[in-house]
Amino acid sequence: MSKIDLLLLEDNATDAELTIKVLRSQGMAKDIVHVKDGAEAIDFIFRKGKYAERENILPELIVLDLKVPKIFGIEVLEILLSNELTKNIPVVVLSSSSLDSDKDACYKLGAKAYIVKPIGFDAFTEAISQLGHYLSQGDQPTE
Amino acid sequence: MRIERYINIGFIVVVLLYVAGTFLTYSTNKEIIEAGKELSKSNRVLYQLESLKREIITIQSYSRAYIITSDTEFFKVTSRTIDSAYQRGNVLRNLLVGEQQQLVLLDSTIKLGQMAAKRNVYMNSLVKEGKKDKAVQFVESGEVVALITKIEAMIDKMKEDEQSSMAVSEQVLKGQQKTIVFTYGLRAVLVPLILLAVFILMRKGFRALYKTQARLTQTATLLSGLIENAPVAISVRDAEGNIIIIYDALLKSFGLTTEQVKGKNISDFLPAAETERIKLKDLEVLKSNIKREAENTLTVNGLTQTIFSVSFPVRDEEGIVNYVCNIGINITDRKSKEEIIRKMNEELQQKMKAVTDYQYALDESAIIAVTDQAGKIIHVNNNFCRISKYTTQELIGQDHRIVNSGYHSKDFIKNLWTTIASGKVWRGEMKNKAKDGTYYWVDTTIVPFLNLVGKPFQYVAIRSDITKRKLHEESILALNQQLETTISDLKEANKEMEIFTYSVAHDMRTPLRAISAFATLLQSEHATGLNEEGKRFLGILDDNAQNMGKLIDSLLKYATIGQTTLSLAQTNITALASKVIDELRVTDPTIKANITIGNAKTIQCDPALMKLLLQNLFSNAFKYTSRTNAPKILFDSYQDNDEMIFFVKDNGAGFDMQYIDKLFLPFQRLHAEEDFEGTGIGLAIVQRIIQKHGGTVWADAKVNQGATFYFSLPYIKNDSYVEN
Repeated sequence: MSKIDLLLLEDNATDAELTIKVLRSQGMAKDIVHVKDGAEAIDFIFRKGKYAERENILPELIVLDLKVPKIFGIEVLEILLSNELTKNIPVVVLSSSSLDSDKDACYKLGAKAYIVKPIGFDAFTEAISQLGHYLSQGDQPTE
Repeated sequence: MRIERYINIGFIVVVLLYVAGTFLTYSTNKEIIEAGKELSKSNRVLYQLESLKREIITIQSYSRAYIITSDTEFFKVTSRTIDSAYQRGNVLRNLLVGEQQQLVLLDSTIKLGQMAAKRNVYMNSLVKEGKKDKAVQFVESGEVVALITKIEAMIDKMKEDEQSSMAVSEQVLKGQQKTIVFTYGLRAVLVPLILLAVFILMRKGFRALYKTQARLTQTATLLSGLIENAPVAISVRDAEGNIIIIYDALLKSFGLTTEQVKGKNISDFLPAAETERIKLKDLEVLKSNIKREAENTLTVNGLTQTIFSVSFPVRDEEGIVNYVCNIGINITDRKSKEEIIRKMNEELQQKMKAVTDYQYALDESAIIAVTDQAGKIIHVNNNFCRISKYTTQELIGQDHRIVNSGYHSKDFIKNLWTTIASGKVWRGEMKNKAKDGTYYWVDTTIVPFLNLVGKPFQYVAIRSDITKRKLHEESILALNQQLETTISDLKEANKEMEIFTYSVAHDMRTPLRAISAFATLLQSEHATGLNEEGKRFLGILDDNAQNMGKLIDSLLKYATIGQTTLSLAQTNITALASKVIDELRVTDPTIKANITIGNAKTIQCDPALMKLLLQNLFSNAFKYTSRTNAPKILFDSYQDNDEMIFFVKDNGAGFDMQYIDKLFLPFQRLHAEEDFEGTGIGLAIVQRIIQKHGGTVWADAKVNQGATFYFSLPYIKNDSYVEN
């Protein structure tokens, strides 16, 4: 793997599957890494633990769910944006929470976007397609 | 007795003596003259009688000679001598006028002489006849001798009588001489003595007089010096105001000179009003004959001075009260000083009164204790006794340990003493113990009173009873603790609620999304394996999952409004309404209602919440007019006292007013979901938003005749109508 388009932090398997399905079907991202908790996300990004041996490359975009095990998405966001290595990587929050408090906190920390996961599949597809803004042109699907 | 009296008596005595002496001398002299006359008469009588006796002898002798010689010459002598004797008898008669006895004797003698003379004639005739012998015989006869002896005896008798009367006169004279000697002695000794005494007395008197006079002169000089130099006005005037005497040191202060005043009438130099006043006053003094004092401010020549004067009656030379003497002192300066002092005094008194009032107020309201440098109580007021339940006697001399409750730490007490001993005021709240063992709290201020070197010499502690407050505070503290527990309970509940809400928001949506998404995916990607009914079921599955999602969203909204704090801003509600309607039209292009919006209104509110409110009210209005022909919606407002009332009126389905109570409750619906879809949360959200703003929401409706939803917002003056 010479590049990582997107790192997805999502503990819910169906949501992860749906997200990846939409991203791939829309041709927005091919090389997607999926981690299931905050600690794993940190390990992956900073090549620690089981990811210590992985290739030294960083994802182009990081998509976080907030309510994830071990380390919350918001904590991961804080760590990433306060670290020199990762502070320039765009981070988008993709959450089921429609609470303004969550939204405000994420924007305050420096998230590029906060997307509430809708319930209907069509609305979900539309929402996920917004991620395209943060992915490199070369990977944009040609419609 | 006064010297004058001695002199008077002396003079009277001298005069009396002189008069008595003169009188005595006069009467004595008279007697002496009388006696002298008598003596000289007696002498003459004696002389005549002696002569007479000698003539008798002469006659006898010459008769004898004649007889012897018969010479007629001799006889002639006898005749002449007899004639002389007769004459002598007449002389004696004249001398002895008034001396009857002598005169009788004289007459007898003269008769005897006449007889003798006859005998002489007879003898002569005998001689002439030459009968010498017979003549001798006759002469020497007894008869003639007896006659002559008788005459001589008579004369002797007379001589004897005269001599004895002479002796009497001489005796008298002698007595008078004694009197004269006495009188002279009297005058020569007593009068000079008395006069000497009087002289001495007079001399003494004069000396005293001179002394007095000298003293008087000195006094007069002193007095005139005093009067002339005294800084006072002295004037003597009569009832008409004519100046008799004037020494006026105050003239200058009125711009007057002595020349302008001397011998004038007061009306010549004083204003008429003053003249009248002074005259009246003077008359009073003259009538009553009593001293008067007065204080007057008068203006002369434009100069105003205040004069204190004493007027008293003065007698003229005849002792009649005719003049008034007036002594005046210029007290203008003193007056102004007095005025300053009076004002200062007044101020001082006011301040003193204020201080006293403060003291009184303090004493009445506060608990006061004064202690000496060592902290020994030297004064307590009643309030102190009342609260501590000790008597003054029990407290005086004690220190405050008597009311120590032991509640406060040693550091607390030490801090108190350090503060006040350094001259600073200490404030704090103290718990004290009364005599009966009960406790009381006092708010304490201790003020050190500093001496000149800045060291405290006593401390004044002003306290107020805060026991009740402290008890309240304790109960408040307890309540607070209770409240804190409740709050922490609430917080916990809130936290749980938050977790619950979060779960609802997050976790409940995920399975719904899975249901919806996979139902959709199944429909689109595996359509061939499904019949029409299967596809419809999957559609229902998707719809319900999405409705559930909306329900969760609404519920979350409703729940979060309660926790939100308002962020108020002046908001143009009318413009906001237009925006909401436009957005709703974009979401639902089927909206066909005719919408009218009233005049623009700006009001203080939370714009985000207000937008949510309007979204709910308008979407309701659109929803319930969706089946109405020619649907109309009106949004307008009016002012009612201090509230602004907004309303959304439609001509839609309306509702039955008997269910109005349920209208604003969450999850309550007045229409079947089949007719009008919805969650039943919208109006509950509206009510919550309005309540949060301090307003009310209500509705008016009739079935199939439309509904009007009103909401009120507090109207603040700053809010204004802005014309469209």
